[in-house]
Amino acid sequence: MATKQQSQNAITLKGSAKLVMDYLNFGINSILFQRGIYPPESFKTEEHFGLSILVSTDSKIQQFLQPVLNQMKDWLLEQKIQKMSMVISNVNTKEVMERWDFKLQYEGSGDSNPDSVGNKELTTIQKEIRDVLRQICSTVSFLPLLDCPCAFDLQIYTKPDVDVPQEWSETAPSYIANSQELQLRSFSTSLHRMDTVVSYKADF
Amino acid sequence: MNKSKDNDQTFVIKILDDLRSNNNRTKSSGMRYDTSMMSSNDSLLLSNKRRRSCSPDLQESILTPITSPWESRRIKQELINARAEIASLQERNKTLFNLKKESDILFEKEKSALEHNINKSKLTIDQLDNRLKEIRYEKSNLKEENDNLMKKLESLMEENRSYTSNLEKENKELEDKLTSVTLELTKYQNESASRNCTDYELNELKKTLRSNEKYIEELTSNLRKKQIEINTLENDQVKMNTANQRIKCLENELASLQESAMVVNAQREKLKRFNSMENELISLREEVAIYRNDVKQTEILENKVATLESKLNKHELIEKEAMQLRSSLAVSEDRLKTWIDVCREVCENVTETQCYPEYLRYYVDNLKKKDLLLVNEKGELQTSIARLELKLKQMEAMLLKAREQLIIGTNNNNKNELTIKRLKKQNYIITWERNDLRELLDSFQKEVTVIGNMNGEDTRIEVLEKAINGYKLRMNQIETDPSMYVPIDNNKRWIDEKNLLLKEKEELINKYKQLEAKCIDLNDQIDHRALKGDFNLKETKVLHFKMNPASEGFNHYQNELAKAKQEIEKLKERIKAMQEGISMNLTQVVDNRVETNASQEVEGLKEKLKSQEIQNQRLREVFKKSSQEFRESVYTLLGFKVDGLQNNMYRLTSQFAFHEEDNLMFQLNEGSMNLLETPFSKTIEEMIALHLGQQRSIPVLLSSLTIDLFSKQSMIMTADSTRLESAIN
Repeated sequence: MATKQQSQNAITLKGSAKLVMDYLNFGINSILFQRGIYPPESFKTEEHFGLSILVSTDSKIQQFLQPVLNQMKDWLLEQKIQKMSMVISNVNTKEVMERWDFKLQYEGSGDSNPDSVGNKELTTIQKEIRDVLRQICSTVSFLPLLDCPCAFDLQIYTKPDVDVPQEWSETAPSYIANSQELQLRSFSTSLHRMDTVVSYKADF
Repeated sequence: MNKSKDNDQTFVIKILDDLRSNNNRTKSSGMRYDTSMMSSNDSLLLSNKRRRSCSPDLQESILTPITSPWESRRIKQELINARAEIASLQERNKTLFNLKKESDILFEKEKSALEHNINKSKLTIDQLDNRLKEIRYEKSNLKEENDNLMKKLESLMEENRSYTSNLEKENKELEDKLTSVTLELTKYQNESASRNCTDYELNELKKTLRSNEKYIEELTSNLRKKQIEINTLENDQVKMNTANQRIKCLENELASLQESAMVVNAQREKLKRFNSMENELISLREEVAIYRNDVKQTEILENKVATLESKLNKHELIEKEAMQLRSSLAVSEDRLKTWIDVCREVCENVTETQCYPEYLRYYVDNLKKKDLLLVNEKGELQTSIARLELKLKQMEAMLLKAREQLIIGTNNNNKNELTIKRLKKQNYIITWERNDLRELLDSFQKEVTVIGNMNGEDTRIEVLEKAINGYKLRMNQIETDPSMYVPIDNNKRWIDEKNLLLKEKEELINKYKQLEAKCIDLNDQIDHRALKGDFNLKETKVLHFKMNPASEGFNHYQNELAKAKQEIEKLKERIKAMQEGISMNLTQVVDNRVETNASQEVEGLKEKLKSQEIQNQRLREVFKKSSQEFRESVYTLLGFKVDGLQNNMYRLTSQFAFHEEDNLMFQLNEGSMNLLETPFSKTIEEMIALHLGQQRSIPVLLSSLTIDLFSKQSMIMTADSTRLESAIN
């Protein structure tokens, strides 16, 4: 009986990584929709974490997001990732307009043991993720309007000893001159802790 | 005036009076001569004579009263000066005379020139008059002609008008007739249907009509002729206009000629006046000469007066000097008297006769010598004093040093005494301790001896011995350690150290607090930076997927931009072409232009071309080098220099050839080599016949040729060498 309860409450490292990746996937999709980077017609609603989330149906975006998130998941299991930045920049001038930082912290035991288990309930984790996603949606109310053709890029901040696959390359970090930041809520899977920060160009 | 003279001043005044009288005389004489002057030159000469006549008077007047030689000398000098002046004046006179002559010559020349001019102008006037007359005559003729032509024209015009009006009238009448005839004809035709007899009439009428038509034709031809005539008349009118214009031009010329005639008249009048003007000029010149003479005389006199005045001033100055000297003489005499008195007072044993400045000087000299001696003595004494003072100072310094040494010595002494006392005390303490320890030892030894063979005693003894050794060591330490000498102020030091340590502790605590605050601050900053997106560059790698939407977007944008630019260029070219008016094949033309205008492409191609050229050049160089090498190697290996010529020709020159012209020519013709005839080939016809004719092999020919040439040359060489050897021997 005791063991059963233990198994119910437990969350494996892989499960935690999957949760984090799901969060990132939906977060990125909803940002793309909310910030109007792609036309709203190309989004469809899906039910996740008890929320109806708009996910892009654009095949190009999916072709880009899937390999990136899969690679990130691998790196996450190896504890190589420090943070992930979603950079929204002006296509014409290459100026960075907005940056969404997803900072990762590794909780639990320090080593990357694949058998390590967390003790947080899935429902609470999902609730936390839901809250953050809701907050992302609500940021539209104060973020400045993007009145130029924009595109986005995902920059992953890893440890220097990471193996770089062929399709990947190193890039320069992007900064916003005269930026303002807002820290959103954070959630934790008891193995990974995710902080979300949005930086945007101040109007004045 | 001559003999009785008491004063210098009066004498000078008299001289002056004399001069004035002379002056007046000369002036009056000059005037006289002016009136009777014949020419300027004569008058000058006369005046000179007069002056000479005057000069002996002056000399007499000046010489007679002279008593001093100085004045006589002065006057002689004056005389000489005056003579020099006279000579200069004569010279001037001559020059003036010459000038006058020259001016006369010039005047005559001018006169002749002017007369010549007048003659010329007269001639021109005559010519112009003749021309004027001709022109007038022409003008009148032309006018008459013109009038006649005008009249003719008018008459012709009137005639024409009347004629044309008549013709027109006739024409109208005829036309009326024609219409009436035609009307009649129609009537007759109508009637002819019914009546045949009318045919005849009709024919007649037709004939009349024809005759009428002929008449009309004639009239029209006449009209044409008349019109031609009118045209000729119009031409005549145009000619007349031109003639009128010419008349006007001629009139203008006439006016100008009249003006020139006026000018000539004016010049004539001027010429008439010329003679009178000449006369006036002569008279004026004479007057000028007279005035010049006068001016010269007055100048001379003024000069003389000025010299005399300067003399007078000098004399006055001399007088003043004399007065001053007299007064100074009196003063000096007084001084002399006082000096004599002084001398008498100073030198008591001196009589008045001996009272001379020499004696006084001698006395003063003696005094000076004595003074010098005294001064020398004083100097010597001062130097000795200075020396003594120096010695004194040295001695004092020595004394001070000695005292210092003494003080140091006493101090050392005191210190030593103190140390001795301390050491004695220590010694006392140590001896006391030693005695104590000895006593202890003795007691232990006694105990040992008393206890004797008790169990475990050995170990105890050993322990005690160790303790003793320890004590001994300690004693040594005490004896050697200098820090043990002052064990009194230990407590104080301890307290100081404690205080110091406490202070340090406080400082450290403060520092710790500051650092903590700093740490917190820095942590905050790091947090803020992290929020801003900062990270540790050393420990992070920023990666991204190569094919991300942003870079795709950028590339897409760049492509679109390039395309748009290209299109703009095309359109611009199109507009230009349209402005230039090209309508055929517009798009093709535009494309061509854009291609030619694509400067980037052109530049790229140019660069490529350049690089290609450079490559070509390098290849050429390499080829040249290699071919040269090849040829050289062929030359050395086969003994023939091979030159490739045009038309697939090859020239072979042997290494051993005697002359450069000794060569063979081959031509490559469809894969086979043909030997061409050369002057050299003629000489080896045998060889050619053998090797080419029979053996059919060029290499054999060449090799035999080489051997042949080599043997020939080596023979010559050997012959040369033998000759040389024999010569040496």
